[in-house]
Amino acid sequence: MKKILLVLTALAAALPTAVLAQETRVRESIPAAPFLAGAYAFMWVAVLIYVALVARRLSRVQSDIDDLRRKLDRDR
Amino acid sequence: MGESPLPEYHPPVTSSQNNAPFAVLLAVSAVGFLAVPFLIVLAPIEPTMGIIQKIFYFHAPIAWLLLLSTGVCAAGSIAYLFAGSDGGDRLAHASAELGVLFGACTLVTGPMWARVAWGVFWTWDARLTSSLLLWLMLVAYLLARRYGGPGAKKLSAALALFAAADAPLFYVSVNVWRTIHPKTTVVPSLGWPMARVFLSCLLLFTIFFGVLLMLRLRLEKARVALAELEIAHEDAREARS
Repeated sequence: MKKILLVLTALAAALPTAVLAQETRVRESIPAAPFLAGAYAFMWVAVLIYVALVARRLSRVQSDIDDLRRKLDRDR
Repeated sequence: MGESPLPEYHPPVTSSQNNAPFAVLLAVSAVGFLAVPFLIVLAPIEPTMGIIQKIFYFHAPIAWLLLLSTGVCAAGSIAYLFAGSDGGDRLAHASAELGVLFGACTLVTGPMWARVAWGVFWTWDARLTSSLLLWLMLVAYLLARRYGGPGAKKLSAALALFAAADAPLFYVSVNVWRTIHPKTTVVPSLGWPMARVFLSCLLLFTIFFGVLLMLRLRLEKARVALAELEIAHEDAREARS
């Protein structure tokens, strides 16, 4: 589930950058496009990094839980 | 000591048991976020500001998420402070983190719009200043929680109430003070071609907020489960010795 979330987030981040870059080529006279694309890309990169950090913390806690569960089961 | 039974451990509800709403929201937000860039590109170009005005379609929704995070954080903190709800505390912690994330995005995307529209990245305008204050209060919440020592949860919950007090100020600042930031009346005055893009983005970003909040709450629940298991493990060791 976490991997799917990461892949989808990466896809969603890549697409607008590509589309906006295309628009930049089409409308070269408008210097605002890099700011628009940059703002959108920043937002997605920030969200992607956050999701990756939460996923990493979650998998670490989950592996600690699994270790402790195994120890408890062994002790029973 | 004889063969004393090991303490009973009841694992909390795990991800496999409550996956359905999360999966649905995840699917909706995934489809939505593939559509958002097309919606933005195809939206009409505003004649005065030109293409840079399209930042509005994601800047305003993430600013709304900053407000929503603050509201959820304050509600959770009230539940913790006045009813002792640990669930409320976990909700407040999760939403404060999201508030810092979306606040940072608001504070970066806004100045990029301002650089083109106003000619400067930043001005000490009432809206910009109150948004920076709100973000700093949420950062203070997380710092107090992490480094506050004993009582950090209560201290950070109190900070969340201060942040909640700033949230309405942040919203009405453009209407109360003289400012160059667009007023809140901009949204109702949008024509339908722009309004439908804005409302779609607002809905999709709000759904995405729900997905992130659920993901972050899973981490909190897993931490509680780990803490319970550690106690059970310690009890088991004591029972054996």
